Amino acid sequence: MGVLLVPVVLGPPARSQPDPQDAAALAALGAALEDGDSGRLLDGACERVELSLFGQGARYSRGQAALVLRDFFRRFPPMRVQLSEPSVVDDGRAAMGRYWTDEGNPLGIYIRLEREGDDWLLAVLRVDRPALYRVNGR
Amino acid sequence: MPDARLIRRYLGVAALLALLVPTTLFLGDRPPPPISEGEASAAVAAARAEVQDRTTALLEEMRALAERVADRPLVREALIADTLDRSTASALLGAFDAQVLPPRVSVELYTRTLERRAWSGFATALTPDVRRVGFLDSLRTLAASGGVGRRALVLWLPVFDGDEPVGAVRVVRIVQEAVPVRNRYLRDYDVTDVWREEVGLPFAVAFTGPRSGLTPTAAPLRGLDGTTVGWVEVSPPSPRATAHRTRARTRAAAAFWAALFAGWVLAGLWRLHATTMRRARRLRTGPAWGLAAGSLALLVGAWIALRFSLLMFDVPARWASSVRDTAALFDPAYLGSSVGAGLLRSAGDLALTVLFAAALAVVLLRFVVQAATGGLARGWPVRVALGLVGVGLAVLTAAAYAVTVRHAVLDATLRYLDRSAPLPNAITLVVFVALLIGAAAVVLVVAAGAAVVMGREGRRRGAGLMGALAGGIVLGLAALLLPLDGEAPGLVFLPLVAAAFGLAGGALAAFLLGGPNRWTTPLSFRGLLLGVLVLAPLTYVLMHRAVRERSDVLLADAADLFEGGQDARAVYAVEQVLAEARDDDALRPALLAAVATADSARRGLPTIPLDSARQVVDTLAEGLVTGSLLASLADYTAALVLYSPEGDTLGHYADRPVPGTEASVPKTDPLGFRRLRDRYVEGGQRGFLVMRSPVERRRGVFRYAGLSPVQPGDDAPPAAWVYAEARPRLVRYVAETPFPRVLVPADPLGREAEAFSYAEYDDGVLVRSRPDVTGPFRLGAALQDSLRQAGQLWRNERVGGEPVRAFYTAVGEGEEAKPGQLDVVAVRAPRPAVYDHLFHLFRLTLAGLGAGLVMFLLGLPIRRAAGLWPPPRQRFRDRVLNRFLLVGLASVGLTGLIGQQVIAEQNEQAVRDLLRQRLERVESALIADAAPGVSTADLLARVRPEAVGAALGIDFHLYRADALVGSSRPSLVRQQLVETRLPAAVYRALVLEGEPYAFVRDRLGTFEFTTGYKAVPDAEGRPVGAVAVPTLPDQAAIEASQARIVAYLFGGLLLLLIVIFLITTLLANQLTRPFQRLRRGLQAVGAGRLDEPIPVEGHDEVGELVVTFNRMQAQLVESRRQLALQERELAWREMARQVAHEIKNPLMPMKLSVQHLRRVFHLPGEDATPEERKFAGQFERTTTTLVEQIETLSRIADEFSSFARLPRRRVEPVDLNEVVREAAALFEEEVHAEHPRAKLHLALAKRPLVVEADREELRRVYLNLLKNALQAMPEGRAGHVTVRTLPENGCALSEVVDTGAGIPETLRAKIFQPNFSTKTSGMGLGLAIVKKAVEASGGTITFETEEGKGTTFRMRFPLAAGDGAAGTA
Repeated sequence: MGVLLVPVVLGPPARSQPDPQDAAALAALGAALEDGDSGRLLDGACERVELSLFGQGARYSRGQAALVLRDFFRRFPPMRVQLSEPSVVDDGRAAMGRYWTDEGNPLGIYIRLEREGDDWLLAVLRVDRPALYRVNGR
Repeated sequence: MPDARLIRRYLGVAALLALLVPTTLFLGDRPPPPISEGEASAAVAAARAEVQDRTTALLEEMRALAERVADRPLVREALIADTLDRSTASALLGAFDAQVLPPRVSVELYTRTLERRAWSGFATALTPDVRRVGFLDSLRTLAASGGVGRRALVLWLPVFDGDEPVGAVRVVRIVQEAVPVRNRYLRDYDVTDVWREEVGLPFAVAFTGPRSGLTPTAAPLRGLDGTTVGWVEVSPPSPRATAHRTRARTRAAAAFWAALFAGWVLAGLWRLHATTMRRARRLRTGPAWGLAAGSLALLVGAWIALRFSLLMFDVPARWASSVRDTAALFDPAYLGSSVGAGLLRSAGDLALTVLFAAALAVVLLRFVVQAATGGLARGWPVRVALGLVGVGLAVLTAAAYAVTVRHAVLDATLRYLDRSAPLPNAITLVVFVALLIGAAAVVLVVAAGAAVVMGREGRRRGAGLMGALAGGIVLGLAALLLPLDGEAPGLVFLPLVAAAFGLAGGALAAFLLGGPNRWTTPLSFRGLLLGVLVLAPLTYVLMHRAVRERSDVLLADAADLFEGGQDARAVYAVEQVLAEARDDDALRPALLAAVATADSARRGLPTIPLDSARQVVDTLAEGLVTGSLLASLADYTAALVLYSPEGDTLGHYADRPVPGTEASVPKTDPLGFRRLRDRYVEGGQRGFLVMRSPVERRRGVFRYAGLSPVQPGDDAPPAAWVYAEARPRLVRYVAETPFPRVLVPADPLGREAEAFSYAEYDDGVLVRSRPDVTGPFRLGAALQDSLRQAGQLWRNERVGGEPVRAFYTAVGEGEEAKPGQLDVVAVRAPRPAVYDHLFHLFRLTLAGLGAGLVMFLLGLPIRRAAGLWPPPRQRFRDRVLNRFLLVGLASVGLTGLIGQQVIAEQNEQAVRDLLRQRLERVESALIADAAPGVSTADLLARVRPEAVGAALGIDFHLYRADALVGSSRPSLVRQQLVETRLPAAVYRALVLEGEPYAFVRDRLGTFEFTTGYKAVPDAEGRPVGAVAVPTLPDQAAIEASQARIVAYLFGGLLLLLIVIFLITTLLANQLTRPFQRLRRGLQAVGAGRLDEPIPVEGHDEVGELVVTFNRMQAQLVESRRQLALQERELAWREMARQVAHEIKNPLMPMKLSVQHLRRVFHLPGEDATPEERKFAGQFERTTTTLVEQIETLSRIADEFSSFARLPRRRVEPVDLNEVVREAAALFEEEVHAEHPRAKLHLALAKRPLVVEADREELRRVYLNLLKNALQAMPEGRAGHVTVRTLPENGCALSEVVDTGAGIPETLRAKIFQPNFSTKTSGMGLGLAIVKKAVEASGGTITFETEEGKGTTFRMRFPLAAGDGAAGTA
């Protein structure tokens, strides 16, 4: 994913400093992804989660999202997951990464977290298939 | 009951299957053995070979296609000729255009000098290889770049004339393609995706010359000529992946065993239940029925357990997911509800769940009905308890169904209320059918509950109706109490829906209880049609409520996102401008030059004027923006600034401000640039960085900014920066060309959100909206007050006459908000109008009819098994109704098909008219824009399409000959979204055949649109190019307009269908009512009821039939009366004969004996004693009396004898007058002499009246009548008897008139009966004999009588043929 489509706020730098909690939350999500555990992945999720799988997305309730992810993990069982450092997204955090299945090329993943109280909750999960033939990642 | 051996076998199989499940799982969970290096290498080699085979097969398909083209004689002729005349070229292009090509394939024909003679499909640039000497002499295969993000396999097949190559066919197949934006229309494509299952190991393929992007272990893929067409990299099998695959396989096998086990158990329980049911029906005892109920409970439990077991083992989703066509059916991304422990976790699972429920409902209803009709006696406490259970079950089922419908809508991303086509897509269709089957299951369960309540008395109609009403009321009350909806339970429709379910169930129960063999009637054509017409509205009402609820949720989500300022269109547009800048060949050197100039200027070195360098960059920036999609965003202004690394502005472009609406957009934003650049550099980013920031002094309004470095080399530091910005406009402008929907990234809210419109109000004043102004510019004070109190609210509104659903939410207080200030975000969505409801209901009904057809076909074997197909008896009304309905359905279907076709044609025509107008406007603008004297060819080359397009608000492309030379949207060209070569059909029409216009249907991915082409002629009128205008930006509006008309059509058709159903039912009833009455009349006649004539209702053939029937019925009555009369006469004759015989035989000896006694008796002499004289006197009187009585008896016997006697009649011409005279003489002689009470008069015709009769019989007629007249004379009064004859209308009329006492009213009907007499003597046979004799002579006899005045008997005899009066009027 050469494209860096990270909508971040051009606001004061003080607002956009990462904190350790978001990194921990992202690490936990990465572990849940690697285990293919949709329940754990959505334990700390917003009431409605935006899931986009291969360009088709919608905002789902947590219950629905669990079913969608369960089906995704069944069809694309995770072998390994690697997430980048969190980026600042407005009042949230985002991270991109790779998701290896037993099919070959890793899938690209994009995660966005939103803050609710002291917790960082999963708001967006996008999975896409980056192709070798994409020029400059496009 | 099954025998023990069978049970043992059954249990053995069950145990075996049960053991197989854990055994398989155990074996699968064991860690797989380690893979040796040799095995890994072999697996990799096998995978590579598989990929190579697939590639070869792909190329072989291309070669086959090329050979088919090359084999055409026309192709060889076209290559041999030096030049092609127009007709040959046209024929050749026509042949190519007619060639049906597979997707992503193009075919071209080249001469050896690489002149393209014909083509079909997309254009791909020629690779340099083709110019090598000898390249076209043999088959060539190679990989090529088909453009940005596109890879293709190319095959060249030489065409020979004899042994000499004269040209070649080129076939290009795109094998990998990356789309500029991914949405529901555009998807990336990789031909290798479908190979993965067979290859078995992870692999990656790059169809390209160099080994780009792959590791050195990648192996080459060879083409048909041995050249390298790509590289394949196969990952060796990893232990984890291998273990996973093994586990997946064993779990699939375990799932199979589990499903088999569950099925086996269920089959056994079904057998048990069937056996207990048979026993209960035979024994008809409580315990037997209790046993049957127990087996039913077991069956139900097992059935439910089976459903959940299937869910647990992911069956059949596990198997369906591996099949491309069925995978979506079990994909929860379309429908996935966590309600019901997975029962609704996909469309397929929903369908399975309702099928299970429907089967259960059938079994339950069957049990209840059979128990109710099977002689199970119940006391009232049991009935009340069972009734409560039945009603409770029905209520629970209905509630479960309502919840199911709600979540099937709420937890789905399917567009149930889609207007784009009358037929829903496959998954929606499955859901529709599933919900209808669910509704049917509810009706069945309600029917079971009603049958429990009704019991055997349900046979009575009244009980059925009462049960139905009670069910409806109970369900209605339950619906009132159940919180089925997020809002307050509906006060009107939910109870109505529940009552309708109750009524339908009650009616079904009453019907099933009403007679035997009624189980298959619901599977009949009319049964299914009626079921669909009843269930579809019920289901739709529930669905619509949930759809509205989902719409409200989506509106709230959309408002949340809009409030957050996220606009995927703007992000994409900024990214796209940056990509354009990066790929612009002219920009980089210009920027580098500008940077050098700025650097020199800063250092004070001599250089070119700074303004001159900036002007060049400004021009390039303007070109980038005005031709970009960013310029299409009517609600944003665009700006592009080029910065040096130090932050100097090298050039810029910004949209013109609109006077009086807002301040001009700042031309540069150095602060924003520095912040973005710092973040980019600090983050070590690559590629683009697109960010969002709030607009100054505008709360809740965001702008989007993006940054892209300009690098001299791959790893070189940025030599300049491209900074693009999209800033929201704060008020509306006249829109430029709309943003094509096909290029909009997929909306995270789904397709329904595409129709949403957004608006933001600050203190009630509209400050921004997208995509169009769909609401008021100001919010009312009342609405603002409500929002201050409630925070958010949903309202039904009308905007521009169209119904919309609007959501308003007061957004939070921002940093710049003043106290008391209210900012509101409003999101509006179209709300269905009446015709939309009808259209959606039509779609649901159509789905139901499709399912009904399947059920009808599946039901045929069941009905055949039940002996009901072909129907043993079919009512005429049903046959008429069925045919009417078939005609109605066919009419509706045909009207729909033709109507849709007409609408499509009309729409296409309207689109063509629109395109013609636009093409003419573009052409006029081009001519106006050109300098005087510029040739057409130069005009096409020099015109600035971006500027003209922006001025006109029309997207267009320019072609010279067949090649694209310009476009108002160059970005679309670079993204290969515009074809760079005229389609063969267009070139043929415009250039070769001289047509002024041509129109073709194009598609981008799955997005279809129309493109219009207009020929551009030179001064001599020869076409030298073309202008093309696509409907790409307007396609959404065009489709919406067409969808609205289609909705009207099909909504109307649904009404028509319902009206047809009602009218045909009425008509069939009306038409067949007379026949039903006839049938009832015939049945009455058959049953001996002959006094029920059918009322005549019409004067048509049916009315005549009824009249005829009534007449026949009357004749039958008369015939039966005659027959009865004859039977009685015969009986009387027989009796008379016997009586005469038995009486007369002893009478004569008696009379002789008495006379002998009188002769031998010596009268006493004078000397006889008083006793002797007294005895003698007594003797005399007694014997006299005896003789008299014996004579009386003798006369009676004679009378009997004459009645019974069946003498051979001797018919002869007889003069009636003579007979009368003879009878009168005899009467005078025999009777009248003794009883001279009446005087006889004869008034006979003056001429003879000859009739065909038995003279003796006729004479007896008159004698009897005369005797009768004489006896009718009252005592003490003299009377007259007159006999009259006269001719009348070809008959001989004869009357016997007396002046006697007349016949009383009550006796008149009986006087001709044999046993009737008012006299004390005689047997009353006289008049019976008279009637018989008259009728034997072909005559009739009637009478007129008046009490106290006398009686007239009137006889008519047909005159004999020889009589002169015969035949005269």
